[in-house]
Amino acid sequence: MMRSGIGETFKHLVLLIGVVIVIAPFYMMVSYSLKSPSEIQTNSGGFAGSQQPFVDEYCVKLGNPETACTVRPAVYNYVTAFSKAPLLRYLLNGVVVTVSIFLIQVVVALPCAYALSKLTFYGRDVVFSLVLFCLLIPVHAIALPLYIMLSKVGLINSYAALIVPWTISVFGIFLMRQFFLTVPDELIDAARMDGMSEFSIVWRVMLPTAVPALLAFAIFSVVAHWNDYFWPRVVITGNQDLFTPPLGLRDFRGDLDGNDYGPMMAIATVIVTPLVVAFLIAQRRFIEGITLTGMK
Amino acid sequence: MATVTLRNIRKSFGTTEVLKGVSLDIADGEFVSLVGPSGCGKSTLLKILAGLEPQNSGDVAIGGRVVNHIRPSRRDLAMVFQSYALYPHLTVEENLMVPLKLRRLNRMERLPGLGHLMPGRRQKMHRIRAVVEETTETLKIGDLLARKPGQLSGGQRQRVAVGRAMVRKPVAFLMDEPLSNLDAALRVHMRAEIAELHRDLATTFVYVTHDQAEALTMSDRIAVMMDGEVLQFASPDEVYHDPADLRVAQFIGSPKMNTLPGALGSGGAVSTVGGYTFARAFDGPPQTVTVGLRPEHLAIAPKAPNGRAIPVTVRHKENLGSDFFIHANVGDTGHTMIVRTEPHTAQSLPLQGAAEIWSVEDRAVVFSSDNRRIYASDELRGIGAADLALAPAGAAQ
Repeated sequence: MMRSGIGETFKHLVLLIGVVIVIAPFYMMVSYSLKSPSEIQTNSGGFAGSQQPFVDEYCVKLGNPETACTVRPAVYNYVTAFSKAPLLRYLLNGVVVTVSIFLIQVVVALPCAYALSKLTFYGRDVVFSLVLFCLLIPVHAIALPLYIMLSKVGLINSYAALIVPWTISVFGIFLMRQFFLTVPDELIDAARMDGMSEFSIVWRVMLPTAVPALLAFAIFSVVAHWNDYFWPRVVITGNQDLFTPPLGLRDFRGDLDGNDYGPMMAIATVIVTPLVVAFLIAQRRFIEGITLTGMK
Repeated sequence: MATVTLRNIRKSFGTTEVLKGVSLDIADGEFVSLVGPSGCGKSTLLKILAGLEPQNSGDVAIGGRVVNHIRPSRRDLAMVFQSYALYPHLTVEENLMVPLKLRRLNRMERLPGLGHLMPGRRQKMHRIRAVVEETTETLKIGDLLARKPGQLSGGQRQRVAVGRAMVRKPVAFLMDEPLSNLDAALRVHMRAEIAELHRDLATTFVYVTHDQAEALTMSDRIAVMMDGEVLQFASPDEVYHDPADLRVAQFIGSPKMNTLPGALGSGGAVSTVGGYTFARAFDGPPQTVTVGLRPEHLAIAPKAPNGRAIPVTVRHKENLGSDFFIHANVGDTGHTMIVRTEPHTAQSLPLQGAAEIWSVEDRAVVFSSDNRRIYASDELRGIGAADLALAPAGAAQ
């Protein structure tokens, strides 16, 4: 008992260190978003700060009386975040882009995965090898050709530029194909006997059975494109209305000479929140999806 | 309601030939079993019949119409699968409605949401519900309608799968080992239910199984398949009592038919191990043969009454209550035999003790070295087996 006690303690110690390393940046982000500038600079006030009202000097410089410029730190940070940057517009752009990407990815990936797993045709294995090969191509390697192509068709600075290059997800095809392999052939044969066309089979039989795997894919896809900074930076050149949340954050930092940590961390918190909430809601099904795809 | 004809069906997967020219004529309303060990091609044959797998050559005709290039759904067949293949995301009722919706509603009416607005849909749905209700009543699954397949037991799923096949009123039912996922007791029960269902519906049934007992109990005719060929296509009685081929004789019957090496003499006399000679004369030139003896056609006793017997050593006694199966070694030849006997005879046989086995009424089936049947001179030849048998003497060679 004693030995296992020590062993358990050690294990937990290691895990706790891991947790601290992972949590620390988030902790700081949320904490800074609640504190006043002086508290951030002196590193005082604990997690939430003292919430003592302070005087916004920028507001005073604009000629307002001090009493009108006295604000609470947390309120100040979040109000500044929403007022000085079109944060809602950024969030909306993020939703439009990630949801469009995911939906089109599903529309493309499901029929592909179905064909690659359940239909027999000449050259199927070659096609699948090509799919696997495409998994190895880093996006940064083809960013320039993609940019040139989009610019030639005049799509730079548009939603299309943000969405189109991602609509064919090789990872999605691969993931769904692996999942479809576990669906018994008899189910498809039964659907054919019932009179379904191959397309109906994909949407009416395969899609409902693949919901857990699709959720797993949704998390990967949405997280990747919500957080993507590289590609929007490349194809959105200046038009603020098309900024996605990470671009907006970068823009905000540029505006505020990099010192105003409170509002900046407030923006970061707002950007991260939708993902965290979505994950918490989908958590159970998400883990189901992961284990399901990993098990069989 | 339709006849089903398979003509010279061939099928290869890569270089392996799974079906080597199979022909079957199935009459309207007949219950036919395709039986054989796994890998004999029976499931492939069923899939070809259903249209789920294309044949390399040969014709499939349903109701006299050749359907080679017609899609599965247009062949008007229904299939029950081994794993039942119910749609896991739909309730029992929705599962039963799928084949009807796909047939009776047009494309517009099937659209989700919008379809509900189409005129005429309500009447159609009403009729579909009526059919589903009628089917669920027949199968006694009315109280399961709201459940999903995952919440059903094996037997219930099986019934729903049969129901999904029934609602369409197909011209023929195809069943691919539908009972093999059930436990033994339920299997026996469902055997009777399916046979009853066949009588009620009076539709053609094609039933694939590897279980010879299922084939014997339910079928009008059995097609015994092995290595991609139909060895015999005949009634259960004929397949059991009058097998055309040694492999048929060994496959059908439980416990297996005893097979012993033997010799056909010049006078038509057949002798086997231990010098045991059959009184009957068989038609055929002198050759080495295999003698098949059913366990219930043999008798065993410490001492045979007329002296003509195979001497054996009792090795094991299997008690089935009403009967005993005696497993015995034939001298030092390495052959074992199984004999069915009554309990009081079995009690008189000590384990490891000597005993004698003889054939009651000389009932033996004899096969040549190429597995074909050699008939006794006074034997009536099976109708289905006639062309496979060695008759008249030596002519088929």
